[in-house]
Amino acid sequence: MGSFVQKVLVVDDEVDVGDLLAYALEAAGFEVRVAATGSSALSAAKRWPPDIILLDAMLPDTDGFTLLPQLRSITGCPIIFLTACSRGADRERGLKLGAADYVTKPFDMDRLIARLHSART
Amino acid sequence: MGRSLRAHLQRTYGAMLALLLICLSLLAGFIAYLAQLSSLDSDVEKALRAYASRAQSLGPLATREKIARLASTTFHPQWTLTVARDDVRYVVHWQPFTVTSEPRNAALMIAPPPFLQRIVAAASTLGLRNPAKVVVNDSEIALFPTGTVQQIAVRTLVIVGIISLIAAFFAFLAAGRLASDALKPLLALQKAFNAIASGDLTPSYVAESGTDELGSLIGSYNRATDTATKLRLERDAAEARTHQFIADAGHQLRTPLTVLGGFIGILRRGQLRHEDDAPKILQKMDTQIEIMRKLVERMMVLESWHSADSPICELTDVGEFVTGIVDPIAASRPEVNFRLNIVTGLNACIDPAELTYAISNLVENAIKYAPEGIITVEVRADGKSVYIAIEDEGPGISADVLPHIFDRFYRGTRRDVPGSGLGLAIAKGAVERAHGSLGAQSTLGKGTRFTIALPRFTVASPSYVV
Repeated sequence: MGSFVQKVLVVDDEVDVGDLLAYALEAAGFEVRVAATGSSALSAAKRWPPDIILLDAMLPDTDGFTLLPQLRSITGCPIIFLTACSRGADRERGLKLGAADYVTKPFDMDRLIARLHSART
Repeated sequence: MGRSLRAHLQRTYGAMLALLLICLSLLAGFIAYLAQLSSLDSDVEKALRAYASRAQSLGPLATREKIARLASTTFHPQWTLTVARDDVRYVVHWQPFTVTSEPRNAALMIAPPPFLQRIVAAASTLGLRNPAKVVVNDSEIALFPTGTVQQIAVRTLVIVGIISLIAAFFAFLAAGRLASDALKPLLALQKAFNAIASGDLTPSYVAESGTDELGSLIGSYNRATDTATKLRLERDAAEARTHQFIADAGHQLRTPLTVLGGFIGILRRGQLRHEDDAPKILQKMDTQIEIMRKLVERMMVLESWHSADSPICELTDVGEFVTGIVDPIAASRPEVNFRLNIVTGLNACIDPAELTYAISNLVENAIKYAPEGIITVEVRADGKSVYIAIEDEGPGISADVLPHIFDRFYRGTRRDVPGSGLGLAIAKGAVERAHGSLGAQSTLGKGTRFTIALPRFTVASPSYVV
């Protein structure tokens, strides 16, 4: 049994979504870093090992499905997809890749925060 | 239906073929019969002459004994010999052998036939010559080969009958084949229709069998299914586009809804970390509302293009038109450097509202992505086209992104710049509705140039019609 989640890495290219998550999660007591591209997410994960990653599926330089295994090679922390891609096939693909959950936008912030509070590293 | 039609065709073809073959068989039989009679005539003639030469030596054939002495060993047993002298006629019967006499004028009863033999007798008279006759010592000797003629007739009738039966049998076999061949195109057509009826909407082509009514029917079927397939594919493509459009639009709305919902939750729960965060959050929400407003507005524009008639065509001085669009934008953004290189007096036929949207979108994009460099707007022309170019000195667009910038909902890599992903798609659509084209050239680090080409209206082309 690990410790509670503290550090959240948000990987999302939409600036306002990143700002929202950072604001809401910091208000809920988490430490948050936001990466807008796949490459910046990889370097952030190395420099600042997160307890959990919220990963968008569509990114300017790559996509979440390609990025997930690369992040997994850096960190063993849970990765949750947080994306506007709502197709069942995408969801299945994400979970098969080892995502801890697949949450579609627009999402319920309270439920997401509760999910992060209950998660263990 | 196929089977009964096939049977009907087989019966018809079979009857016709059988009739033809039977007629041929009868004709061949009759010719053979005549040939045999001709040969028989010569035999009878020869026999009679031989009899006459022997009878010569006997003197007048006045008695039955004399006639019998000669005849009993001379003739075919089925032939009939008569000897007429004065008023008497002697008739030689062979089975049993007798010689009877009767008045010379009496009707000659050679072989009173039973019912079936009457038919044969009737056939026997066909082609029968006058009986061979010879006069010896004042006696008229006649020889009737009746029995042999009847034998030949019977044999010929039997052979013709057998051949006709065999011919009829093979005629019906061949008719079955002919009926199947004739019905092949119809069965292929039936199969094709059944496939459609069972839900296979990709109908197969049926080979046209000729220029007859059936061939024409198949031709009509092929043309009908071609048209139906084409319309179905067009409908499927339109449906796919609609589905994709709805999915893309839904996808594009998810981000603003997420941001709005999230910030409203923060405000409602009073989770502001600082008092002065509120205006910033409201600004972000306002931006997202503006994105949604533009998205909905542009979706409505695209929808109206699908349902509306052709755009209006207004003969316009393109230079003055572009100046009228760019000047107010430049006035409202004094911090942006515009360079106008505009030739006036070049005319094109355009829908002013749609072209205003296209040009202002390109100019606003240039400001959005390259606000610090010079934005050049040009209007020039060659013999055929009027060109409107909008060029910026921004970061440029990479070669892998450039082919997609006019796709609906394509956002490129700059997510820090708000947009609906529909602006360029609508601009391109507007230009194309004016029978023009919109293209882009870009060099990374140097900038991007969008060029609209519109058909030029000149006095030399007064028949220009759109």
